[in-house]
Amino acid sequence: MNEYPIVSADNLHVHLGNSHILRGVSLAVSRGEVVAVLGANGSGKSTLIRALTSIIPVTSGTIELFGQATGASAPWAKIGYVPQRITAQSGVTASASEVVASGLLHGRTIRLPRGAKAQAHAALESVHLADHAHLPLSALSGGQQQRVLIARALIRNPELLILDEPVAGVDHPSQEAFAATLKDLVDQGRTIIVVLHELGEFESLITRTVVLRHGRIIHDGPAPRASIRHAEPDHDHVHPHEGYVEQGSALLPELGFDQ
Amino acid sequence: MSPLLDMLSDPLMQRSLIAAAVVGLTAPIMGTYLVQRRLSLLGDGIGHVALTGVALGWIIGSAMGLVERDALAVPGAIFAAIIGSVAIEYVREKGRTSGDVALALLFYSGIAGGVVLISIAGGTNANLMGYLFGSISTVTELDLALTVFLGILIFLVGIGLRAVLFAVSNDEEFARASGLPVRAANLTIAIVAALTVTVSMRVVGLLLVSAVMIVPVAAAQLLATTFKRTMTIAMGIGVIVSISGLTITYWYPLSPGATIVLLAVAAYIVALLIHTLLGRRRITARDPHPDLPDDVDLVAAGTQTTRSDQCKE
Repeated sequence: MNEYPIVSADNLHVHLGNSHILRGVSLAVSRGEVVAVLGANGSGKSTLIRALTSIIPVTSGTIELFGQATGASAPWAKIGYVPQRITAQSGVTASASEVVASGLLHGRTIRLPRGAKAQAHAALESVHLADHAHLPLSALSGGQQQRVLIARALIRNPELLILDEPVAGVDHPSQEAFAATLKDLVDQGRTIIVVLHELGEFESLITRTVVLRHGRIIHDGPAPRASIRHAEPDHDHVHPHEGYVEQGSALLPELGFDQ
Repeated sequence: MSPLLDMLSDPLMQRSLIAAAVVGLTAPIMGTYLVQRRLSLLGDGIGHVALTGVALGWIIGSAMGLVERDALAVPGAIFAAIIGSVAIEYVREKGRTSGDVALALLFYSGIAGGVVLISIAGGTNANLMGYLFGSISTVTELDLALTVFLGILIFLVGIGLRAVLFAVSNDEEFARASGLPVRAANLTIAIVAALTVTVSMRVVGLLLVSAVMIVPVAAAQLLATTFKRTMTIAMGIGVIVSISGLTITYWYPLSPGATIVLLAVAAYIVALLIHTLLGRRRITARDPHPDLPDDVDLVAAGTQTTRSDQCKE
């Protein structure tokens, strides 16, 4: 039953404009794995999962999801994508319930099924936002909006969840709550690919870590230990998006390479 | 009641009222998607381009020796508006920084080309004004049939495909990651918006087309918190201002298109007042801060400093 990998990417190259972002990335993810994709800003980790989800086109290489090539007939219902944040603030206010219900559409399913509202309510319940279902998204806090986006991915009950920095810009208690939600999903046997800046709360859940640097995978296996210097008292813990220069690769975000 | 009955029994006024009702009902449907996509001025741009289509229709009509030289004006407008809106969608999808300038070039060449071509085709300034500001009193039975047909089409697409058009307009990347036909949905919105512009052309004119699409939505947005309700309220406002605007001009010699648009703006102001009054009450009733514990240990810190090692961003 599990002969094929859930995700199979072979020798991916992605160009955005004149920049060669992914330079030959191959990745196979099996059922039940919880894969963390790590790397500095501009290392290509966001680009990788945006390529896997067909958001951006690949220059060369192949992607198979559930053993099928991506396209109109791919098994989109089995895949749930959670973006880092609402990509573009919509001009017309939509309620949390409407946004979550839109997750029921995929592939050639372009009309909402009966009972969409009740399903949206249940999905919001699973992220503890049921009492906010009627509120416009703009009235929710950043962390609550993030949970709405998770509910939008969960409403179709996906086997594979792909999350792009789900805890970026989310306060610590929300991160803990999110880690608990993720643990439930892992316990249900779902396959998860999550882009992270650091393992943090998720360390115990992650079964495999993929580290990108300069558009190539430089580590694929158990979580690497953090640099020993992190533990030293004089270590100045600065987050990558605040100008992390330890690996030298953080110069890239200044050039606009991230995403 | 008698003057009202007079108005309703006038065949010209009957046609005008039906055309205005169709425009009032359907223009805000596509307007809602345009506002959601932050393309409020798209209708305006398509209107500019459509003028060249009108003029081309005139030229071809003259060349073919048609008795009514403007017979091909509306088909010409539909043709040019669709070409223009697809071109605009192409520029938007490419997301080039120069896209802004490309759109400006398209819009202004559209309107300048239209003005020059109409005069070449032997049109008068009065003809031109009719297209720019509406000429609802010249609606023929054929015009009306076309208006009703296109109105039904806009309604069926805009309401029937609302779920997918909403999903694509709300978050295009998520729609892509769901395997939805994003390009087809985008082109559908662009083409149906172009049809809306040409349908509204007779009633309010190409320069004010965008107003009947956008202003009712802007007003509805102040009164609704969901996308669906915003669209429904906008359609209601559209119908009310179109019919009442036209009715006013039956008794007073005012431009119907401009009167309708001014009523829509008045509806916006009323909605703004209601929104402000209700909003003020809501603010006092509810604490906007979510009731979540934070990670600041004030007791342990002893002062107001926070722990510095945690991800605050």
